[in-house]
Amino acid sequence: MRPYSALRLLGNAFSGHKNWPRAWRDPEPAKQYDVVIVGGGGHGLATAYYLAKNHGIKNVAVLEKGYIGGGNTGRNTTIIRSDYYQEENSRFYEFSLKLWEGLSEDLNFNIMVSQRGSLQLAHDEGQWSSLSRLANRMRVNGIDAQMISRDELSRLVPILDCSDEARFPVLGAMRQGRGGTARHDAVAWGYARAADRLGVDIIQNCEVQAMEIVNNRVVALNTSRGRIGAGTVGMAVAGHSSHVAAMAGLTLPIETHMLQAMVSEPLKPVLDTVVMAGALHAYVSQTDKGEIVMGSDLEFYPSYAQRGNLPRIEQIAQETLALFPSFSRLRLMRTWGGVNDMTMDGAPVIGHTPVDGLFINGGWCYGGFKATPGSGWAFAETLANQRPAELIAPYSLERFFTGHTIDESGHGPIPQAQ
Amino acid sequence: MQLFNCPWCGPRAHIEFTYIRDHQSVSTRGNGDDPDVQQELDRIYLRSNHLGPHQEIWQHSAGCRGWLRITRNNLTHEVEDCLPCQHGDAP
Ligand SMILES: Cc1cc2nc3c(=O)[nH]c(=O)nc-3n(C[C@H](O)[C@H](O)[C@H](O)COP(=O)(O)OP(=O)(O)OC[C@H]3O[C@@H](n4cnc5c(N)ncnc54)[C@H](O)[C@@H]3O)c2cc1C
Ligand SMILES: [Zn+2]
Repeated sequence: MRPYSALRLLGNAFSGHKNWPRAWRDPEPAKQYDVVIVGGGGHGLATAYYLAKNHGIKNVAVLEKGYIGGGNTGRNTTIIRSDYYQEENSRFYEFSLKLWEGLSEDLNFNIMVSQRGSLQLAHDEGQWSSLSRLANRMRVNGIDAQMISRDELSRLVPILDCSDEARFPVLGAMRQGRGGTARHDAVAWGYARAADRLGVDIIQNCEVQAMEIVNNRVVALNTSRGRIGAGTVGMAVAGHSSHVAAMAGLTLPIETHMLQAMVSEPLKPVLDTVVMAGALHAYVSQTDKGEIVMGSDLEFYPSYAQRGNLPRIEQIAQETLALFPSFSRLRLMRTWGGVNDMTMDGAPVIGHTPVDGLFINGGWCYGGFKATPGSGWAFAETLANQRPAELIAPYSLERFFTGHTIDESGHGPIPQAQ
Repeated sequence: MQLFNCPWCGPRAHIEFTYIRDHQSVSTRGNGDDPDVQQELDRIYLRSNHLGPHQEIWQHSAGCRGWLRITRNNLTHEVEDCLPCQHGDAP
């Protein structure tokens, strides 16, 4: 398949863009693969790509029960950043952010990474101190971070209500200039196309329904498209981690919770950075099409429904309006929900499982979009070498039983509080 | 919106209630004096998280503040049961 280029774009313009070939094949599943990835979200597709590219393992299939990117990858609010405090998280998310920075070129697919900066607002002295502490820690780790005053903030984001009368008065913010957004669907499509070009089979409408395990080793998957043999299996099914792992008799430190988001009708450019208010759990940005994207808090009860309830939408609208009063006349265009794999310490679970040949990549909570490239990179390394990559070794399943939890928020084993 | 029938207050919208935790992570609590460490770790950190009906501990936090044991389907949001917590159930 030929690479995309400006010249090809021009050439296809002459035929009204009607002759573009499909971006990835639609193969029938083979009887056996060296590696089978369950879940065609960003993490599964990235894993397959790096398996082929970095490790030369190309007899690989990605099985997706619906369409690729139809899970949380296509439902998130697209924010990428690396502002984490815990050392393991800091190292991992910064590695991932560095991969984002070169990803469009690497994939030959414009995933529209926009490093427009991300802001974490401080509404009181306590938040200001803890964000300062975070910023200092980031800078010690060599990651860009900056505390900015209310005056600077109101110059940077003129439509943010920084007045004394604001419903939630703002003291200032922590800014990571390299934070920003990326086009979520394009991430799935870009990885899929690039993996396909290296020989990976991407098989959609293929639900894994059972696992065949012989002498504590996974040997095959029973799917809605028949039995597929596998040397190694990597699960990357986000909110569905628990019931897929249960097919192998495993119980996970994960509870599935719902998270909603929404977009307004499109408007002219008014907001050129990402604004997050941790205290309200509101996060707002504007897409390149002009829509205002608003993300909310969890529903706070376990749910696989993939749709939320109205009270949370009302809350997030109120909070966004308190921050940006000028949005009051905007009409909402769409709302949706995604099922999040919330862990007991808020950090992901990647690595081996007690079943030989079966590996897990999950527990991304509501922050795993930014992790996509780093996770794929490290999970591929893990599958290729059959042992955890150094970067993700701290995210083992065992950590909960050895006292090595990585609790960024310090809430303890309360998944809905992470 | 889910409707929970609080045994003390009657049917109320779910936003009056706070989800506390999976009932299983409370009911399997071991003997306080001589706990089995492995079993306690499993109880604290692992969840069956299966699709379908679950027993859960909720609190009617914006109502009578009573502890409730609610049986709720996490896929359809249907509520099968809403009972007061029994001795040993409380979080
Ligand atoms: C509303 C919302 C906002 C968010 N905002 C952000 C954000 O701003 N920044 C950020 O970093 N993160 C955010 N996240 C989190 C982020 O979206 C996820 O952590 C990340 O996309 C997970 O990617 P994934 O590839 O693991 O999962 P998914 O994209 O969900 O992929 C898993 C795939 O597995 C498939 N699958 C499941 N079961 C089976 C089966 N039995 N057989 C075959 N296939 C199966 C599913 O259909 C799905 O496509 C948000 C999430 C939500 C819901
Ligand atoms: Zn009550």
